[in-house]
Amino acid sequence: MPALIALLMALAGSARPPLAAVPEEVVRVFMLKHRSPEEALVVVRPLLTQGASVVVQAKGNTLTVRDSAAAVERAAKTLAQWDLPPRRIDLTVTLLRASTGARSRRPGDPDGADQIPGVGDRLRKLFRFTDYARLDAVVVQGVEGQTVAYVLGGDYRLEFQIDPASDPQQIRLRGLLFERVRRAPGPGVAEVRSDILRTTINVAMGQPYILAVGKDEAAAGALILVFNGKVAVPGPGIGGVN
Amino acid sequence: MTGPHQPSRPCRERETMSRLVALRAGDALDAAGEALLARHLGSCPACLAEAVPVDPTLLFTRLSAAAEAEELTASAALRGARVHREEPSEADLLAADVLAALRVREVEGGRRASRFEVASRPWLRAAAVVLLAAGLAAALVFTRPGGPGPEPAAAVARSVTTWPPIEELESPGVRVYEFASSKPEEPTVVFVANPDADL
Repeated sequence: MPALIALLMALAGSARPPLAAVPEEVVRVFMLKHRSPEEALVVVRPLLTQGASVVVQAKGNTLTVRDSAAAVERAAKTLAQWDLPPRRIDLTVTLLRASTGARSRRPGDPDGADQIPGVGDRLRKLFRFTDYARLDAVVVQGVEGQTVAYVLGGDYRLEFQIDPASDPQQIRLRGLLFERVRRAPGPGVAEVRSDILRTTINVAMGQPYILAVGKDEAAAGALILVFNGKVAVPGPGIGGVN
Repeated sequence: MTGPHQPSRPCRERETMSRLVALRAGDALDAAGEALLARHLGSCPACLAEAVPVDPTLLFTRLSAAAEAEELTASAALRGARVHREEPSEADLLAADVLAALRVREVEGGRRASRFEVASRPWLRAAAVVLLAAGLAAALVFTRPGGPGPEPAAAVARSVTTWPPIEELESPGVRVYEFASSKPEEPTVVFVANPDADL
């Protein structure tokens, strides 16, 4: 009887397909410097296999990952790119009013689009607007993670959060809210705001980004926001480069 | 290539217009050529159908020209002139269909839902597909499907890749056109058509 059992087991073993190579499991503890482990979990989880396990330790600001060596390596590379100190950003925002037909700017004022290198030509190639009046321009200085809000041209308001971005070539403006601001006619309420646009945009560093809003594709007018962002470098003086 | 709105035989100006479109794509078209091209495309659906896939921005040119023509018609009507309104031309239909194909997302009731409207005519569908494929010149806009919170997979995709110029549009009924830059120094352009925008 034992011989029969041994024979059956041997047969069962021989019928089994050869075992696939099991990937080696490794455990790595990631100590996060600038981000929370909860945020890191969101970033890392889809990079791991189904059998992975992750432990979030808020106390030490660490993330412990157990998975195949390849998956852990993927996570490590991604976290290295992502766990960066918040950057200081200088963002120039220009508000233009585009129109066809009669000029809306004062005589003698230069075309607002031509005042920003590369923007005038690009707009003229794409759209049929003949006039670009500059309503306002501001330089927003902020740090990633901050929410900033500005009133532009007296009648418009722009708000967004400078979101931390892992891509060093991009600035992410999350929750961008572009509103029309009107003074309330009656007492009690200072102003009334209405939406023009709510979105999130990703601006390439050092490259103008044109965000135009019109009622429709054939509209005779549009509002245009031009963003131009760069990472702020320390100026002269204490902590300065020179 | 059959259908009620199929363009008729090729235009006699086809070669000239093709040359102008190529010049325009290479930033080498002067103002006179630009005006000639816009005028011709405004009245020739056959050339427009060929030109838009090459340079999708001509769609805006065409629509703007159509809008100006409508304004002129309206002002003529106000002056008591006899106005003859024609049925929509093939060019109008083409523009409408390409626009429909370009429409990526329409938000209804605060919930975003992907909506690709496919052109009803085969040749228009082909034009729309070519248009969509012309990513560098005019990529269609993208918004992430969305629930209240970010999807982990999407968050990671964003963290390891370059993010799209625009996402998470929250205004209902908007149409978005993205004109990616073809050169590093060229500005990225996003046009949002929002009928409810308080401009």
